[in-house]
Amino acid sequence: MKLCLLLALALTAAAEEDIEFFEKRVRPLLAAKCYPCHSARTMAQKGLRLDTREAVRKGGSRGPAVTPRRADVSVLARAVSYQDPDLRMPPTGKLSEQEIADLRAWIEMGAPDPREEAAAKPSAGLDLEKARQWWAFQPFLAHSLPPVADKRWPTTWIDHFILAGLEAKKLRPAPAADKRTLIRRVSFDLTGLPPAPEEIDAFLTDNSPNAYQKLVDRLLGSPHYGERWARHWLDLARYAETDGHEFDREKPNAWRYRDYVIRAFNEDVPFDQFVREQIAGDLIARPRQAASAGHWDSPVGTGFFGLGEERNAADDLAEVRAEKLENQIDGLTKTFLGLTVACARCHDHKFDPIPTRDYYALAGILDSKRLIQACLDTPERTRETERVHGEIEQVNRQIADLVASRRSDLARDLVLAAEEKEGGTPLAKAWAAELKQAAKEPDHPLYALAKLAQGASSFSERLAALRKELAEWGAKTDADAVVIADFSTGNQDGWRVDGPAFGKAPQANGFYRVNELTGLLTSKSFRAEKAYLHVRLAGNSDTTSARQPGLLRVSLVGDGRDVTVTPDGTGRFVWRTTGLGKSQNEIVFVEIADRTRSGSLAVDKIALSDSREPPAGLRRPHPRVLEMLEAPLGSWEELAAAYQRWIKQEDSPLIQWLPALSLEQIAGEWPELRASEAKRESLASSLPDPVYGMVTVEDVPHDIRLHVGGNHKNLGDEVPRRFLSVLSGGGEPYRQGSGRVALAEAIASRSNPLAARVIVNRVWQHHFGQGLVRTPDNFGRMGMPPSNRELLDTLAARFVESGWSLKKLHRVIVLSSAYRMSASSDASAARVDPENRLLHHMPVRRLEAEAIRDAILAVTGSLDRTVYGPPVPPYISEYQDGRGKPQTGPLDGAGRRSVYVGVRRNFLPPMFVAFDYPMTVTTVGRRGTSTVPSQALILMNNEFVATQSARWADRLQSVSDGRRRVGKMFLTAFGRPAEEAEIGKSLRFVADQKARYGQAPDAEFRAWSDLGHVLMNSKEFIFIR
Amino acid sequence: MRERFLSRRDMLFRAANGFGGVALAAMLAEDRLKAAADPMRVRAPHYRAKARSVIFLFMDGGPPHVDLLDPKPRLSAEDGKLLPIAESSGARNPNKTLWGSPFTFRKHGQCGAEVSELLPHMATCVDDITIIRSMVSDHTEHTAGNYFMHSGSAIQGRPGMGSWATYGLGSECKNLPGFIVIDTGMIPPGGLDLFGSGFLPASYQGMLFRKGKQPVADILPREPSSGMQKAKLKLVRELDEGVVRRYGPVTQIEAAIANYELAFRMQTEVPDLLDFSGESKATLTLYGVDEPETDEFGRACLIARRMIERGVRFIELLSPRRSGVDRWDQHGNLMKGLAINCKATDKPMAGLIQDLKSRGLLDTTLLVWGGEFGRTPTSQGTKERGFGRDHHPYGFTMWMAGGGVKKGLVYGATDEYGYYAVENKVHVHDLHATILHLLGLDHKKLTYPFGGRQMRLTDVYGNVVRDVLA
Repeated sequence: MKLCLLLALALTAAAEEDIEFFEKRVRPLLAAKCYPCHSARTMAQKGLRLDTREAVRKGGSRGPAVTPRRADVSVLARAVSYQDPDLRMPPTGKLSEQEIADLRAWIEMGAPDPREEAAAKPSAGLDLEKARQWWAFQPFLAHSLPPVADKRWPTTWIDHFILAGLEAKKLRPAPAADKRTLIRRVSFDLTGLPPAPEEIDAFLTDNSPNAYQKLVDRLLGSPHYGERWARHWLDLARYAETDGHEFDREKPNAWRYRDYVIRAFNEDVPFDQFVREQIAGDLIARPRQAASAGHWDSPVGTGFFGLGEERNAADDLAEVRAEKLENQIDGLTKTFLGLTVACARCHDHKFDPIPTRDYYALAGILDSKRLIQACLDTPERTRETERVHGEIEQVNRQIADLVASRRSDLARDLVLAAEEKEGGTPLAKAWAAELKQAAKEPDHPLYALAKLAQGASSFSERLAALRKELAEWGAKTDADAVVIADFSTGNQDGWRVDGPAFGKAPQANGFYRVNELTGLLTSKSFRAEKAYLHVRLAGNSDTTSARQPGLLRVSLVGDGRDVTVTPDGTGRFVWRTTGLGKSQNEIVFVEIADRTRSGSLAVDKIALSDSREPPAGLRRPHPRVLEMLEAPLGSWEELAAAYQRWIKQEDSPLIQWLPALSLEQIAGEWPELRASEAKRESLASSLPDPVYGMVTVEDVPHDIRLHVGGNHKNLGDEVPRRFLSVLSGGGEPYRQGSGRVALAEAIASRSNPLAARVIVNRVWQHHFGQGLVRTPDNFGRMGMPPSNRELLDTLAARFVESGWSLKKLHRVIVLSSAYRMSASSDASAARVDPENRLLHHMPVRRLEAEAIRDAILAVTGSLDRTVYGPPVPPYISEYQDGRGKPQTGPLDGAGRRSVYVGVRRNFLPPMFVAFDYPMTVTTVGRRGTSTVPSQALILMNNEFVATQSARWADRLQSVSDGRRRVGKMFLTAFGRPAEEAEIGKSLRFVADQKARYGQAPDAEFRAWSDLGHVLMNSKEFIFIR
Repeated sequence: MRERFLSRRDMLFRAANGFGGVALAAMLAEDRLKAAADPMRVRAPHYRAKARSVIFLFMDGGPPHVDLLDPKPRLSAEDGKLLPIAESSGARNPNKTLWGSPFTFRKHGQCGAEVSELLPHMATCVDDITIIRSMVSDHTEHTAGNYFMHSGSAIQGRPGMGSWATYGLGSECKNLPGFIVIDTGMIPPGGLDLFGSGFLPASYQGMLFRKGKQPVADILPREPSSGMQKAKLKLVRELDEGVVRRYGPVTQIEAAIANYELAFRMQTEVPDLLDFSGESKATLTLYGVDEPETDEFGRACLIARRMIERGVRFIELLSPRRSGVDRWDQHGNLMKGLAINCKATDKPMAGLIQDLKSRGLLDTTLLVWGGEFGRTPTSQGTKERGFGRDHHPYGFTMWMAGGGVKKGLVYGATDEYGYYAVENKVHVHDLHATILHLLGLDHKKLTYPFGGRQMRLTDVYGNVVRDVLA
């Protein structure tokens, strides 16, 4: 012991002259030739840093860079030698012979190296106190109203802040907009739809002082308000209903998240609650039910994490997992905090006080969850399901009793079947089928009977052979096998149960399976270190495409390459084996899914091993059979009698084998059985349909190791799970579960100034075209400072005071004089404040893609105002191609609002894309407003727009007078009456166009349809002032 | 302010003699409007450009370098033996058996580059091109590889080369978008997002140009006669005059009005591209147009040349759909599939190079050929059903030609088995840096703010491969 210690000391204490050699010959060389790619301040390529002793020893993706005193095996020496074709460093050219010799000499002397870790860390001195001085991290204060000269202008308190800003620059706010402009503006803003002519009339004729307030209240009370504002939120959530990547697989029930958001806006769920639910809605103390839909709603919010891109044929699953985490952290922190934390994945954030450790602290929280199809049934629905299920169980017991009461028949017919006697009963035929299968499965209780029933040799010879075989079989070991589940023991511990199909107890042996039940069993995640998955299962065939998540299957769900087995469709239990491929050694969880009401699935055992054969240990001969064979057996008849005794015994497994498989066949013989069976099926079909949602649930809580340089193959220390240090005062690590609840609390807390600031800024932006902070997803140093911090802070403070009510926030904004200004800009104001940051007039805004389409549907009278529900399949044109191309939906999306048109990542509607629909990759708080020819081409030539024009013309036929018809069209399309000149031009256009159509019987109809088409192409249709 | 605005409005509405007139050009003289109306306005490069345009011949699926442009005698000599060198840790192919190329190679041209018998026409062009035998990519799977080859990131939704080029330089073609993808029937795995503009403005997304009467979505008027459409657009313009009067000067609205001029002219420009009546018989023959095997890709190449003449900035050609093959992805029966692919593309590509050269366009047009990766020197499948090769990003071949690239150069090398690139490695990021460099763009300066930082095509990587520059 002593000796070793001394030796160690001798090895670590480098001689002074060695250090000198390093300083003179090695350090400058490393700094000049290696640091540019391999240091903490640069990118640490391949995870390798050469700027500290520790980093050199730890190495990169190829292991330690040096092995002291072993230049022959050191990666660094190999790399600079240029001998290895796959590893030649530096890439810019070979070092000189002298330089190479120096490096080798240094390694041989033990690689003495005085460079310490702390010196290399750029963030060593991150001063949190100083970092918190940044305005966005400061608490917000409700400011008192600034004094203004013009006391009459302000309507709501907001106006004091705006007017004070303008007056300071000697500017005047624009005059108030007229009522027509105002109702069009506020209708689009709050509901995304144009006001109907009747609504405009009502507003114009309402001379009461609170006419506008009544209008605003009506719009905020409309279900279309939620649709409009949910879409803004979906931009943040990178919302899509498919996985993208190669096959664009469907994300089952993703749309429920969209409905969840719409409902949350419509019900004015307090925003802090809304935030908490999206982070940890599956765990919060008082979850909400969806009033209109009758299921739990809060957990659906956690679908937020599952909306991103998913790969379906990845080669490096750990990399995919790391990328998914980055995407989730990016979305989470931009959406709720206005911070770009994902920048800290590879290195400390360059601009904001977010060290890499903070990134991995969050990553640990998010890595401790998994995404499943969770059952959302409310207690009422669950009780109803349980009630029916209880009745079903009762019938099952009756069936069991019935079968048991016929034990003698069963025993007799079994022997008949084994002896292949002619004229067997249906029951004997069922046994015969079972025996055929049993002859292939040594663990089948009937194996001995099937094997010994007949053969060329004598019974005693056959018996001897069988005894030997079973002894050998029993002696087989499978030390490498890992049993994931053995449901035959009745144990379902550690499994999460969703839906009724797998009940509260496992479907041991699949006895009495009921087709109509659906459900899901999921395990916690684990690292699958074996080559093969073996599952003993039974059920109907899964006919779903391999590229879609199957309906009846057992899967190892990993990060981009699910490993799946399906039943063989015969209803019999069989072992199925499949290779893990790229999923071997990766993190997976088991998902047992029965997602269809027309088929069933039962699972008996699940195991992993390195052999292609299912583990022998799970397929041992039945002990009772071994017992029978050990006893002296003189003849086949003695064996048959032994089996008959066994059948007649209480709880015999043989009884269970039969009816589950052959009920159909034997029911004809037993009318009572058929009646029970029918009763069971009818009960099952009366089961309520369970509601499933894409939900995040807890997995094994664990910290993860820092990925040095963002490289998942170069792991550093474990980082305890906790919130961002700059926002938490470096608080305690999270130990309760994954920490998602604590994270949700920390984000949606009054003491976090960003949550409220970021959302009020988003709301402001959607009302005024620009936020007070013009980079809505970035409140860090690379973002823009607020144009009016007092206003932003007061909005945030009052928003929190109001109970985080978004509807109250809307009211105070849209009722303000600022919001009611006209869009005409004053020349002098434009000179002083060309960007309109002080808000001297209302900016003109182009409608978003969805609002344009919805306006077309509304104007032509084709809009179906149904709220909520599964998506309408999107229309797929021949110009949309690629793998995973879906069946097209209707051209007009069945008239539903755009928010209900299915969002398929790889097949986004071209019209939406042309009008700056956000990419579905990460949070997009502000859409572009580009001008591209395809916008004009779509409005000019697209079939959808053309057919909508014709529908409009069709509806207008009831207005016979041309002038009145033109007037109605202008009023509907633009919310204003046509000018006299416009009426003249329009009527002339219709007449000329009709003449051009000549003798066509529908010439006049088409001319009017053309006029409608023209109005939709006018800029007034898509620009709102 | 008012006055200037009025004069511009005059131009907007009065100078135009109907749609398709010259009004837009005049109008675009005004800077502010120019910027908003025309994201494709020509912008100065960072330094003098060698290439004005790019044609990217994307061979989706992964062409096998050892069968086409990178002969490996030792691989043939050890055919059937096991790969003697350590495989990359990410390798996919469980079969380690070497498979020498079943095709013969011969030296060609002054430079003596060796080319497979499958590419007899390209063999005549070797003195015009640079063959890079040392390409390296990071991804072994199609979709990630495709995203990576296009955008330098394996993640969906990032802008690709075409978007970056048009964002950086605009387009000299006023009647067509600056970035066009000629789709001959096969959208690669990854879908249309390969050509999306990602976080760049929508203006820079690739326009899909398909086969058939209406190659571009919504390009053909629905009206029975052009007079009817013009009448509609005239009324639109008159109504828009009222909009401008009522709303006041709003740049975005004016840009949207001007945008209709461009759209209108695209309606005629696009069908013009397909009108080969002005092309000589000799030219059509050069591209293999009207020969059954080469017609499809020949037409695509010819259309690409016609787009180059019109000043389109970035054109991407996709592999033609041929019966009996799945892209260039021959996991089995490679001898048959590869022959079909080569037959379909060899003559048209050689024709394109020769045609551009004879018209003096090759010097300003950069051609880039290659897939998302190469294929293994080891075999897949069985001899009976025909061997194939697996995906292989650790060393593969691409070629470049024209605008600023050396002529008759074979650059870089793989090892003796064609497994690893060992000499003068060119990573995909380096290729991107080099393409931008030839367009006059510094890949480190061509940035766009997104997600809290300045994004680049080359992320934080990439070096210009100076050795291949002419």
